[in-house]
Amino acid sequence: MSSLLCKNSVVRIYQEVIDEVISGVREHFLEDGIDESVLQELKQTWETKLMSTKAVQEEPVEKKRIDHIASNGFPKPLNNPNAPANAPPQAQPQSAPVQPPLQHLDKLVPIQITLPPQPGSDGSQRVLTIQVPGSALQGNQLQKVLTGPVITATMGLPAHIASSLLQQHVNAALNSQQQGAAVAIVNKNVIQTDGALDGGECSRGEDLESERRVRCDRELEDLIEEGGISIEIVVPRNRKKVKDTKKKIVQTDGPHDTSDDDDDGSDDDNDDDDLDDEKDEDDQEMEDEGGEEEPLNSEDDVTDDDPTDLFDTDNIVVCQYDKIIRNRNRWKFYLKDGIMNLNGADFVFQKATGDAEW
Amino acid sequence: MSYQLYRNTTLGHTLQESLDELIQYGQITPQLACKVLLQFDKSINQTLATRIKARITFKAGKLNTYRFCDNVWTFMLNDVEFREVQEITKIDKVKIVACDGKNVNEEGSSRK
Repeated sequence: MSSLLCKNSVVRIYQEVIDEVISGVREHFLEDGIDESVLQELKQTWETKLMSTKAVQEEPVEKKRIDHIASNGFPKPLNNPNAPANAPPQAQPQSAPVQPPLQHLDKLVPIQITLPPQPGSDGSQRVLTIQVPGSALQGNQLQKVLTGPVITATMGLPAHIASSLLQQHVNAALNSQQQGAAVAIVNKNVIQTDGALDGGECSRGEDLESERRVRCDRELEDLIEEGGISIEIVVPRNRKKVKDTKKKIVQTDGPHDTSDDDDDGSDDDNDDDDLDDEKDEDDQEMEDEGGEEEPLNSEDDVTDDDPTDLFDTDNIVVCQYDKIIRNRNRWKFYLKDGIMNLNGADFVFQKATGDAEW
Repeated sequence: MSYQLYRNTTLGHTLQESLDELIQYGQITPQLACKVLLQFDKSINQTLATRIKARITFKAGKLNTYRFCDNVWTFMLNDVEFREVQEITKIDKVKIVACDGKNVNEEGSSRK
């Protein structure tokens, strides 16, 4: 049996684990009243994701044994036409995993709200960024939430405070009304008809290809005397492309966080200086039009808890140690029960021994 | 007891991504997902302990860094040659994360 290469047994082992986990949790699913189809969906998603990682070979087990004998153990290309007729059908096609569009409904997407200059301030436009679930973009939920009084209340506040206030308001409002999830994706324009104020120009040159902008200034013309103010909500048009879109969204309201969770909030960390509002206005327009300058995002974060340089690699062995022996600078490793990912491919081992010098 | 460190593998990552999706759709609760992960810990520990036969050796040009914390060893090795019988894989940099193998030996393992 030792002739079975560890790499070739990976698929078989993984499939065993998947089957065992699935049958092992069936009872828990029943207890929770979860339908069997969800369990099957979990299994299928898991298998699909696993196969799409390329960490495992897709060949059925029987074929691998044959290949092994024929090839002296070197890995075979996928989809060998010589597969024996009795080989089990391949569990998963190579194609991309099926991702139901509903998935994106609950992802947070950044929304920009542009508040034009306030009377009596230094005259700069302000952009507030908040995060809302994708589902809130459907129908008119946002519009119901961002009502006049709230906007009015934020007008007088410093930008970062206004953002977080709006964020909290939206979160609270959406939580209370979101029990019944939206059923179909409609992707309507979000039109705010009840904002507080109106009259300013929405002059920001956002990329219209990837974003849908909505002027929300109608019905408010009677409020013009308040100082000519409009509110603009910019939402990414295609939620699958949130990442691309984010590059073009520039947060100019200072370094403070505007949301509390989710990776999608990576533009929260933009570091633009809010002390210098006049300059910001210029910068903002330049950046919006050209998009040359990529704002800081979470990739720029400095993590202080890990010397990532030292311990950063894609080749990882996860295992247990029987013994680690050091003699001066000579180390010997006795490892077991390991899963390795080397050059993108997975291997498993029962025992591994090795040595190194420090 | 079962180690959770195998969640940090291809199999573990893909499971967690799948569970995250189901949670996002509202199809399962995070608590149920947690139970699935615990079952995964159990199954993968058990399977590795009992079903794998492969033995490999490796030789590293250099032990770059080591760390021992909370009974977990972490090694960074450079220029490593992994060998199983005739098959050789060369890696310029690899990280090894290893938990104490004694803790799980008594239960769930049918071999010595």
